Amino acid sequence: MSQVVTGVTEKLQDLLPGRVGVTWPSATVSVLAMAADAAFKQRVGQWYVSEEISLTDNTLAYDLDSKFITVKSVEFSSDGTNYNYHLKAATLEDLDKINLSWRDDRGTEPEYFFLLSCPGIARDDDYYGTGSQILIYRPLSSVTAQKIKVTGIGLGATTDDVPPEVLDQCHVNYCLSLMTAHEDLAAAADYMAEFEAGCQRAKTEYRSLYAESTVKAI
Amino acid sequence: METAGDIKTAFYPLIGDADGVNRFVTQSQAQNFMVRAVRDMAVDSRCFDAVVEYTWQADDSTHSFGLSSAGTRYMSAWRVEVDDEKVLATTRNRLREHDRDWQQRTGKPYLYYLDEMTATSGLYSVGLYPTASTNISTRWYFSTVPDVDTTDAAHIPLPRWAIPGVLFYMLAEFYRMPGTRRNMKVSKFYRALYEDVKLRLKQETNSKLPKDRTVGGTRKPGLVTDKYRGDISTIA
Repeated sequence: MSQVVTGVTEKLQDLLPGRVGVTWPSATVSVLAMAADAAFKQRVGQWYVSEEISLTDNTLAYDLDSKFITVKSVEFSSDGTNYNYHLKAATLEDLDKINLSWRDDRGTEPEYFFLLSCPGIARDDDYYGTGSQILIYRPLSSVTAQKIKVTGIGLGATTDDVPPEVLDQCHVNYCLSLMTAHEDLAAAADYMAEFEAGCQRAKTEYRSLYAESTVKAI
Repeated sequence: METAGDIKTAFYPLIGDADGVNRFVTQSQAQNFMVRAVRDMAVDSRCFDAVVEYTWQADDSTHSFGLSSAGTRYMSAWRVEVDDEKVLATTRNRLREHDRDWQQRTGKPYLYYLDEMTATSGLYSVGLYPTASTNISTRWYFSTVPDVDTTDAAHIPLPRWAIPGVLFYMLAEFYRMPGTRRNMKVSKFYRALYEDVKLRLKQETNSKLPKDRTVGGTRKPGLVTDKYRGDISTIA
């Protein structure tokens, strides 16, 4: 296993001797490696992240961490430790059908969730304010230790371990494509095509989790 | 890639320049490219929602939402609530056909309208029917385009995974500029990468949206650079 940034940097140093750290500052390589990792994870859709959110009294909307690409499930815990059941996804129109004044409803366990903004937008109070949020219905009027756990496809950290063949086939090709486009466009296009093909291979590989059983991954 | 500073860290070396040196592109040009990219992605994908709570004053028939304190620009309202309950959309023409004295009607609003309202660029004007007879709480759900700050520490108001799209847009614009570094083929290559990220953003946004909202087309993202492989002399 290799870490994203250090792994990509080492491989690029071999492929572009004398240029990493000179033509391409380490900070630039680090940013490109993480951009490659984000593109890879969005395409492959197999890396799961989760976030536990402590509920508060009478609160409908909670900030969602910017590491999410897609939200897959939301679970509820009444004691803050054991997650008892899933919340169902609902549109605001669905909630209107339950009760036109659904905003005023309160309960002891939420049943539905809704998302405001595409997942992945960070809150930035110094500049534009709220980012992605999750709304729950019904909000709790009195919270003790209740939490929700949001699980979904998401981004990793610079120090995440990635299989070396994935780094070779995906991350390195993505970086090389961007770094060489102005010198050799055909080569850059080939690198990007290799990246896309690498993502497809990884997707196939990681979706064959049940290859020897009768359970088929969709 | 998360902040405006991260984008600059990648952008300048990729064009053979450095922030502070600015041989090929000024800081102001780079910032303008960045702002245009974020606006284009936010407008096309409608990835950013804002909920604005406003106490509608009695006897006001219309109201204008302009720039908020955070600099957010409202693009389109997709849901309106009065007193915590959804109200339906109508048009001024329907109201005229229905009741010629519609502007004199007062009570608790149950319809809203947006058309024939905007006389000033930058303002988003809305109206309620009938005119509220008392002050009443309203809530407006907008697709928005947040104002972009290009300070290094500022977050980019897009999903984190889609932010490299901003870099691709900036590179495409740079290689399109007249000058010694102009290269339309490289510009088109980056443009294709940018359009691919934007399409993915539309799809990720659309797949989480309520059922009565749709954006985007049926084109699927894929090997967008395929057409650039092999003989590049065939690129138009």
